[in-house]
Amino acid sequence: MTTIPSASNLQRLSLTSHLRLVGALAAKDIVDALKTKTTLTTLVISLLMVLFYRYFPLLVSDSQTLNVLLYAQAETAVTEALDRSPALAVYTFPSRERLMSAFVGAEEVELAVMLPETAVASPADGGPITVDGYLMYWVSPAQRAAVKTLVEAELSAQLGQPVTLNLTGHDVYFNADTFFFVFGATIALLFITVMIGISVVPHLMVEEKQTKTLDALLVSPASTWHLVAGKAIAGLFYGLLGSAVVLLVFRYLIVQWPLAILTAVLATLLMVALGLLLGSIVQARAQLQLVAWFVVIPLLIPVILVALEGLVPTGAIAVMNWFPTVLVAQMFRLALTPNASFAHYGAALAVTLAATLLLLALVVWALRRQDRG
Amino acid sequence: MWTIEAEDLTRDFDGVQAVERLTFAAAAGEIFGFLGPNGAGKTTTIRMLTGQLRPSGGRARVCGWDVVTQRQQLKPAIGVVFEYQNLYERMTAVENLRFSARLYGVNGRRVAEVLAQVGLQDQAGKKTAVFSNGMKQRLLIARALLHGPRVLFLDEPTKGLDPGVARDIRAIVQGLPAQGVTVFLTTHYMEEADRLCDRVAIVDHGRIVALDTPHNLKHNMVGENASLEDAFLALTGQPLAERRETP
Repeated sequence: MTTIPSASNLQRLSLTSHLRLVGALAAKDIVDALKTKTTLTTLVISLLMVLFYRYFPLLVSDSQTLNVLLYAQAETAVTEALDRSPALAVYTFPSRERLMSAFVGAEEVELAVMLPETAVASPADGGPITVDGYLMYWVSPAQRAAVKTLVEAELSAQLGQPVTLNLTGHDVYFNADTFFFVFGATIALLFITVMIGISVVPHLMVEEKQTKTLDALLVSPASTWHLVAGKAIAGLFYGLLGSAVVLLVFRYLIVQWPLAILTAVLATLLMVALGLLLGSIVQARAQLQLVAWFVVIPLLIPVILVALEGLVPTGAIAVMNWFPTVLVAQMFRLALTPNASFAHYGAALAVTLAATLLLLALVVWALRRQDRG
Repeated sequence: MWTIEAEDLTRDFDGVQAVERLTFAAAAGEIFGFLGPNGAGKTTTIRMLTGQLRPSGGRARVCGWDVVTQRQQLKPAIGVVFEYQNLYERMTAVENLRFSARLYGVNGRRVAEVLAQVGLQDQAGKKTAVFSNGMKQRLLIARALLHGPRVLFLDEPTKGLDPGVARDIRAIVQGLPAQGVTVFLTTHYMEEADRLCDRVAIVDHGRIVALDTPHNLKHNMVGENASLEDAFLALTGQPLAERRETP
């Protein structure tokens, strides 16, 4: 005969019991999310968007020609040769700074060439002409080899003598001290965490309310807190999975992995906390869809607006720079630089953590208000 | 020994009194009926006794646990079958029960036992979305009994069910006191209360207007060959069928 636990030996919950309850609820939600059309659609769309952000620039780029960003102090045979080459699309810049500013924002492989006034004509020893070229640090070895082969062949043909493209030690990195915006990777990370946080998590909560399974849970040993923790873990599971996909897809960009991982975890926590708040307040699915759009837009738009320097008033940018999503984007950008330190991202980390804690406090407040009518 | 004790239990919603100073007690192993029309306060009373709703006044203890201050201790002692069928419909019957078993820390073997107890052992692997209302109701009873509660709260358990299915449900309920389970049953079916309950409280407008055995209610209030319906009419001045149509 099966021994059924009596009330007396289940009176007080041990840590093991708390873990068992949260684990059971989280496991149920993780599996259930994959059976729900809404959450499954959100997950698939989010992943497709990540791939879109990664590969769309490649699809629209003109693969027939290589962009060459050129700064030359004087007209030389090399500049003329570059211009004449049909395989190269040359863009000339009036200064090194302007060139670098344009160069670091590129999302496809481009070559920067800087030619000093004294550069090249025809070396006295009759050896090859050497041209210094610069590539972004994330360009793969195969892409480097292809660029080198193409440029050397083109220039050699145009100049009638051998040319060597010197790329050694000329990797260009993002600089933590200057603003730059890597659109695809940044938006992909924010989009996936926002979508999972404010769609999957509240959906799991609202569905329990609508189907009234919540009532059955709340008369079981599970409390509201176990329920919220279970939903949070399910949200974190999918949020972190989504973030991991973003980091893997854009891994070639990442320089500081610990900071990138910290940012992904923080972004997921922030969005899950927001999702929990929405799920605590909203009672019906239709209401949730409406509210979600009102939340998504103010979360994502400032991230793009702060990059539009000159088009958006400075005061507005100053305010938007304190938006948690803008701060997450800032931290992620810093993970792409070799010189970012805690001094660069400490404030963003603190504000984003504070925003997450504030949201969780609001969840507690909302649930306490609703608890037992 | 009383398993359920309520003393002046009161609940109002924004000043509207839903339940007013209910005082009653149910003994261990008893089927205690809570009989009244829609809106009488039956569900509100169950929600207070199961710790889902905080009373505005009075107090109640179930299995010795205060329903307000000892809710967490109360939970393993009770099982609840709600007025609505709140199953996870994307899960199979057995998955629903295994999930509940994990919540209660109950051995998985108990799942097969309760499925057999409600006659659903052959439907265990089917998704509950395809279940009939009767099958869902049996599964809900199985879920409520899974952890061996000392008190089972049944809120209108046969509402909307075919007569045959309702009879099967009543048979399951009737067998529970033999297992030491106290049953708190709300219904607006007079015949059901008459057939199942050891004692019945008749509630009207949130108040208990009579509490006794069905036999005594019928005979003391109305007379020989009377029904509970007659007793209700005598107590409230209105037939239950008519009251049900009143919003």
